[in-house]
Amino acid sequence: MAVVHRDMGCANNGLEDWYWQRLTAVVLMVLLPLPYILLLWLAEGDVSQVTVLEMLEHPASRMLHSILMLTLLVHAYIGIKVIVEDYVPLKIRIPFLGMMLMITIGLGFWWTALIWAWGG
Amino acid sequence: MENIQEREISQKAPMPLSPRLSIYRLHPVTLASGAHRISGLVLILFVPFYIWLFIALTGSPEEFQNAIDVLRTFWGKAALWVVGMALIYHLLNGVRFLTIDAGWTDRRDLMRSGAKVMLAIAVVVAPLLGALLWL
Repeated sequence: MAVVHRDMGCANNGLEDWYWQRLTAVVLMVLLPLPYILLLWLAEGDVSQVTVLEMLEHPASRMLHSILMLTLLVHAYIGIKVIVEDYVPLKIRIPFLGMMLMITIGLGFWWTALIWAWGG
Repeated sequence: MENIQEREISQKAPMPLSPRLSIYRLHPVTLASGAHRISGLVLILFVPFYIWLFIALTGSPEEFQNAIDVLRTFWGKAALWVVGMALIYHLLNGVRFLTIDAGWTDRRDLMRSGAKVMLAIAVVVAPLLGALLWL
């Protein structure tokens, strides 16, 4: 009888990752091009800082930027997790993912502060 | 039961990592999927630069001008080109993955042709984005 060796895993984890990855993907599909277009405009066009600040300080813009940040970090974390599960050896996988999670959460708090509190 | 566990341990050869890159031949589907992962990592690596830009753009007028100057250097434009390519590819190929999940293109031939279309789009868009940035 052949014995199939499997890594230990939690049976109900996979679908949730799958679901969140797709939910955030749909949101990012709409929001992520916006900052890129802004950067292209800044690199190519003639934009004053006043114009940029008026755009960034609008409450709707700050809200969308926050949603973008949150969905991006969730999507990026799950994406890294999937790659890590494929290539990083089991022994260091859990500490590595824990470290990635801490970095992602820390970055999220800092980014939120930047979005809402620049300029004092 | 004990016997099975012992056998399992003694027979445990080093498991090849999944996806077994060194074993499978490179198909367009494999390439398109690998490129999705690589473009995703590129997008993540751009985040620190984006945050630096955000701080500079909302900083003093000198910091704002400095950020604009950096964006207009060769390396600034090169970064915008690389991240733009990653964004376009990751977005379009992500839509392709969603159509597979939805069951619309959940067929072997459509997955293969879809992967080829994605790679073709990348080849066509690359010089166009370059032209937009440098010409």
